[in-house]
Amino acid sequence: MFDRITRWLAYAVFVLILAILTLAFYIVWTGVLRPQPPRTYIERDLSRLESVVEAKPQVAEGWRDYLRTLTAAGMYSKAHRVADEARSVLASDSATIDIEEARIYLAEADVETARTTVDTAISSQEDALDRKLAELNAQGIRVERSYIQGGETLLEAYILKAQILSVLEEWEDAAAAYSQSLEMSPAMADVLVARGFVYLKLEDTSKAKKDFDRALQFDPELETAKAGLKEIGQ
Amino acid sequence: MTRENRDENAGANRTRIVLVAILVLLFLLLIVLGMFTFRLLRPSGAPDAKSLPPGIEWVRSIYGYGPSEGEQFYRPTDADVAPDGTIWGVDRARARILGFNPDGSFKRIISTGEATPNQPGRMYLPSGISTDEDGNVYVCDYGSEKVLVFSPAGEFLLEWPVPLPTDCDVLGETVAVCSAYGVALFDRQGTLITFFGTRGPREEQFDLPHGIAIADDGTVYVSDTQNSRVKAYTQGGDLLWSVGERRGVSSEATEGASPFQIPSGMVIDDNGRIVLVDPFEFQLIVLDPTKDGEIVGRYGEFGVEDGRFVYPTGVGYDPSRDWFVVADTTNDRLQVVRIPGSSSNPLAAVRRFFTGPWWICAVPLALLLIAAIVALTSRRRRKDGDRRRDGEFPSRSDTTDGIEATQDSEIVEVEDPSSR
Repeated sequence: MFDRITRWLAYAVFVLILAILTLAFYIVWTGVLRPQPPRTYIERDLSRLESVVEAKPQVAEGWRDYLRTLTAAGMYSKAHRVADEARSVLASDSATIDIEEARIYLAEADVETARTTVDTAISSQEDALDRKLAELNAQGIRVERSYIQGGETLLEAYILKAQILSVLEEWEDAAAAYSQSLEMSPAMADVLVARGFVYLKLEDTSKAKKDFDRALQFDPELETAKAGLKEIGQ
Repeated sequence: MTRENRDENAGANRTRIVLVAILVLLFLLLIVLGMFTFRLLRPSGAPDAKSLPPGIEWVRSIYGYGPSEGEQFYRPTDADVAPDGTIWGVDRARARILGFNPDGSFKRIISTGEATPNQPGRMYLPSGISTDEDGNVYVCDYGSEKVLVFSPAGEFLLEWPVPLPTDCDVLGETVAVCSAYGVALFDRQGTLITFFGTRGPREEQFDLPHGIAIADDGTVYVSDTQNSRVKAYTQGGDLLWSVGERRGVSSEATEGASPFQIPSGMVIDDNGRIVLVDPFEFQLIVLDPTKDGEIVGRYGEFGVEDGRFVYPTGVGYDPSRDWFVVADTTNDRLQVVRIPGSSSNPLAAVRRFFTGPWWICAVPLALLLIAAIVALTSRRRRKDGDRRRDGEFPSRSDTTDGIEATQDSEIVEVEDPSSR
C-alpha cells in the first residue's frame, strides 16, 4: 500500500495527464492545426504577402510590405529571418530592407541597434544616389537629388532616424534629421508637425509655431498641428 | 528497524522519485502544449481595447472559411444571426451565403451554383438576409428580383417575386421586404399582405431603402437610404415618425441637415433600440424609437484594422449573446462587435463566455471528477477501516459485514514511511 505523499503524487500525475489529454483533445477535435482562414486583417495581409514573397520578387516593395506586416503582428524573429532572405535575393536596394529592419528593432525597443541600422541604410543610400547623380551629370543631365529613383527611400530613412532619435530624446539631432527630410520634400505636413513638437522640446517656440503654421497651410484640418499651436498658447 | 522495513522504505522512496520526475515532465509538457494552443487560438494582430474606437468592443472578425481568396468574402453586403447563433453573411459577388458558428468556425455554405439571373431556385445578386424563428434563411436577390427561402441545412424551400428587393426582416409569420419602391409585407409562404410607398424624394416616399426591421409591437422601421432618412410605419403603412432630410448632390446647403448620409442595414437590439449602419459615416448609429428616433449613440471609425469599418452596409444581432454582426463591406469581412446599452440580459455574458467548442473539455473533466470521487470514497473507507482497527467505534464485524471489515483492516496495515 502507498503512503499519503505517494498517493498525492499519483493524483497529481493523473490530473496532469488529464489536463494534457484535454488540450490534445481540443487541438485535434477543433482542427486548429489545419490551414485556417485569417482571423484578423493582419493575418489576411500576412497570408497574401507570404504568397508574394514566396515568388522571391526582385523588387524591394513586396519584401518591405511583408516585413512591415510581420512587425505589426509582433513576429520579430521571423521578420529578421525574412530580412536576411530579402537581402540575399535582392541584388541591390538593400537600404529599403535595412530601413525595415531598423523599424523591427525599434518595435523591439532595441533603439540603439535601430539607430545603427538606419545609419547604415542612410549611408548606403547616399552613396548609391551620389553614384547615380554622377552618372547623370556625366551624361549632361542636371537633376535634383530628391528626384532620382531611390530618393524616397532616403527620405523614409531620415524620418525614421528622427523618430528613433526622438525616442532617445536626442532632440537636436532629431530636429536635424527631420530638417534633412524636409529639404528633400518640404510639403510633408506630418513631418512639419513632428519637427514642431521636437522644437517644443528644445523650448524654441517660434520655430515650433512656424512649423505648425506651415503644416496648416498644407492641411488646414490637421488636428495635430492645431494641438501643437494650442500647446504654445496660440 | 527490520531489513524488511528498510527495503519497503527504499522502495517507497524510489516510487516517489519516479513520480516526481514524471510530474515535472508532465508539467513541462503541459506548459509547452498550453503555449502552443494559446498561440494557435490567439489571432495575430488582434486589436487591444485601447486601440478601438470609443464604445466598440471587438469580438472577432470573419473573413471566410479557408485561406484561399475564393474561400473568403468579397464585398459582403449583409449579415444576420439565426436563433441558434449561426452567423449568416451574404457574399454577394459570388452569389452565395456563408454560415458560421458563433465562435467564427465555418458551418455551412448556401450556394445555388453559378450566379444565374431569373432561374428558379438560383441566386444571382443576393443583397439582404434574415432568418425566422425556425432558422430558415430568407435572401433578397436584387438581381433576380425575388426572395428565396432556404432551410437551416441550406436546402432551397421556396421563392416569390419582389421588385428590386434590398433587405428583409422576419418576425413571427410576417416577412417585411424593402424594395427600391417601398415596403412589402408577406406571410412566410410569400403571400402579399400589404405594400406601401412610391419611389421619390418626399417624406412619404422611398428611394432605394436598404434596411428594414420589425419591432415586437409590429412597427416597421425603414432606412430610406438615398433620402437619408429613417422612418417608422405601422403595418398598415401609416408614417409614425421620420428622422433626417434628403441631401442634395454636392450641395453645401443641405450638408448637415440630416444626421445620416446613407442609412443602410438595420436591426432591433435586445433593449428595443434601432441600430443601423451608415456606410459613409463608417458607424453604427443607435436610435431610440420611444423618442421618435432620437439618436442616442454613434460607434465606429474609418479604418482597415479590426474593430473599424470601411463602408459597412448590413448588420445583424444575436440577442442571446448580445453582439452585432456587421457586414464590413469594403474590408471584405464580417465583424462581430458589441456596443454599450444593447441588452440587460446577464445570461448573454455567460453564453458569450461559453461560445466555442470548450464543451470538448467536458469529457476529460468528467473523467477527472469521477476519479476524484473514487479517490475520496476509497480514502474515506480506508480511514473508517483504520478507526475500526484502532477500536474508535465498533467494527463492521460486530454489525453486518464482518468479512469485509477484516479485509479492510488487513489492507491498511502498513506503516506510513512519512511518519518515521
